[in-house]
Amino acid sequence: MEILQKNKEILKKQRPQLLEELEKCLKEFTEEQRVIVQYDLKGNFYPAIMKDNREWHLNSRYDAEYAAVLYGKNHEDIKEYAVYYLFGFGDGRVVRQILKNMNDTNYLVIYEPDLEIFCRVLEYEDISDIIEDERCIIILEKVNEKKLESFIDGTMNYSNFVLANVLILPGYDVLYTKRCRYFIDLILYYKKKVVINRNTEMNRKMKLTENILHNMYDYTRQSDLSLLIEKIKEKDTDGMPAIIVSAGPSLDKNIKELKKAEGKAFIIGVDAALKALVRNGIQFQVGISVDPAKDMTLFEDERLEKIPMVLELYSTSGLVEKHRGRRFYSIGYGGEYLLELRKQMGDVSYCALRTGGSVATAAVALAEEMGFKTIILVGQDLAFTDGRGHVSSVCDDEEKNRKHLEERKLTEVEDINGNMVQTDWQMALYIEWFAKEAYNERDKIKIIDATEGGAKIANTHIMTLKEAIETECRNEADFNHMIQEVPFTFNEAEQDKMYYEFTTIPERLCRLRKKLEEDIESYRKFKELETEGITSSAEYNKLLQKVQDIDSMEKEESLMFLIAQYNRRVEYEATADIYTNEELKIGDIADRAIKILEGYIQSIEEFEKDLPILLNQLPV
Amino acid sequence: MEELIQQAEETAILLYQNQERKAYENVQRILQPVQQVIQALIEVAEQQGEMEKEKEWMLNVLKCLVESYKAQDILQMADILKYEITEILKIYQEIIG
Repeated sequence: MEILQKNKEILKKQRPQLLEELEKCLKEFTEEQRVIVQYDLKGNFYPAIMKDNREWHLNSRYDAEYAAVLYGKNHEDIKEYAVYYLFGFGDGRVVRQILKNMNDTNYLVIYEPDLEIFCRVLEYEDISDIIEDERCIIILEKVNEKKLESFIDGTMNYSNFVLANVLILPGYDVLYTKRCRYFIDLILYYKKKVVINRNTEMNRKMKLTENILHNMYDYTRQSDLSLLIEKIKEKDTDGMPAIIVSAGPSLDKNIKELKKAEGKAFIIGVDAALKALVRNGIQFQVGISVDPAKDMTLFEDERLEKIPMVLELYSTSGLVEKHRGRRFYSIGYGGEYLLELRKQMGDVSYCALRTGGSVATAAVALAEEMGFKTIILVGQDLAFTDGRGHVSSVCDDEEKNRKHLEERKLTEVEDINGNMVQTDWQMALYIEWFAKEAYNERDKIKIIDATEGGAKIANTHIMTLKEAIETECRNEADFNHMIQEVPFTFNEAEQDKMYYEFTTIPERLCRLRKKLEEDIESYRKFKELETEGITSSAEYNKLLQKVQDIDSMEKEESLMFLIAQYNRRVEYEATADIYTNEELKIGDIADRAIKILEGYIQSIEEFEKDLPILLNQLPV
Repeated sequence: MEELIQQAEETAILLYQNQERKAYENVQRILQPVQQVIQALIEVAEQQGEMEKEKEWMLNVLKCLVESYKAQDILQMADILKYEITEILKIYQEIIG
């Protein structure tokens, strides 16, 4: 009991949240007594497990320490800033060996898929040193496994993703095959996401800031999405699913069926499907559009102008100009400045929708936030069903379809009938997102794929839309009325306060420019001292501290995020190999930092040119 | 024989390190010579009629190695190779040469 007590005390001190989650979980958790306490010939504890009438020893029965040392020897050359993702905690000995090979720039994310093993280890092995180690992130199945994704997401970025490594403890891949596959797939998914995000950011950089500047004014006159979510949450949605209508080619097959769900479901139409919905006379609750450069022809129908829209702050500004109905804004990406203003006004209720990269994934996140327990996907092919990319309202032209297909980087996935179907890399990533979401939320939410075609999305319930409506749409509600009752975010006085703050942006930019010039000078001096070898003077240390602080610029000036959009290419080029290029000297890194900061000054000028997009909208 | 002992030890290290693919290839390669060694030792034991316990142990080691190979129990395979097979090989070296 002494060991358990010691481990718990350190947990309480260093990881109180994990301990709280663990204790909460253990109250409801019935152990299956599969884990056996074993000792090697030297008397070291290690766990063993019964599975398939076989006793699996999770370390060497002869010398557990020696086996762990050997494992560690294979990973002696850990590069700075590398992140290791380890499947299995085991008895902690391997963890300790890996940590020995790491320095303060590294992280070790450990995922233990068997809570019983960790419980036995807490009792029999002193792992207080591991618990104390801040480089470790510990994820335990049933306790905090839902955080696994956010930890992977948070530890992987464009500068270090090539240094991300997956390790598996011996035996764990055979004993926990499914969870191991899931773990590896997650890491591969986030590696791909890093690359895709980088390409997306590079492509949409300017449009994003222009849209945000345009929509910031509109945000003050419309409603934060949190208000809509709160309103819908008031309703018990039992027997009423959310239906998400996307514009996949299979939508032509079953769109008319949606008529039967009117009034019995909360229907969300994604932007490309809106025309198809109105053309077929389907009454739906909201449209959603999150793309910063959406083709405006998708909204060319008068009947769409008054349909309530859910938007991101960076959504296409042309759509906002044209639209005449209620708009509900999510302020996640790019909303830092608005959030700062709202906090100043003492108001922090806002919604930042999670996103898996597409409008449909944002729609699923919205439905979940609203509290729907069943989500039905329609037109979510995520594949080129019958060689087509979209529903006929988006593209009837065969030649265009063929060209669209040729432009995409194609791959093949399994369709709902077990055959292979073509998709592209981006849609393949969305398939993974939906599958993950369905799995992660399986205890709370049922996701039904009623597309009736396209790619198979793992962990979803596949059925026809007719069946889904018959079984799930059992109650009625007047959601349209509820939407109209959602209040606006600001009253007139608050709007005026926001407008005043907007007019002070030019002054903030002047201050920021001055600070950037000073920072550049600091880097230049720092480089000079470094070149001359004067690295132990007080001036050097002061400058070192200062250049380290420059990294936190985005936290200090919330407008920085918008300005940085103009500088993304320079940022990526300067930082891509910053952790991987071993030949880089401190002087080279300082040069790159200067280049980024000069880029920011250039970006301020470009931002100033775009600022009238916001300021010209303000009332005189 | 020295080479076989070395191979068994190296394979055990690969297994402890979970370097599966390489380790499994090695196990496949050394399984047959190990079997032959055990067979030869059993024949000696039978001729001498004094090594019943050793014979039983060696047969059990071989059985466990094959079973753990089939079950993909990488740590058991490593332990058997590192601590038991090498011992058998050393006995062979002493007795048969």
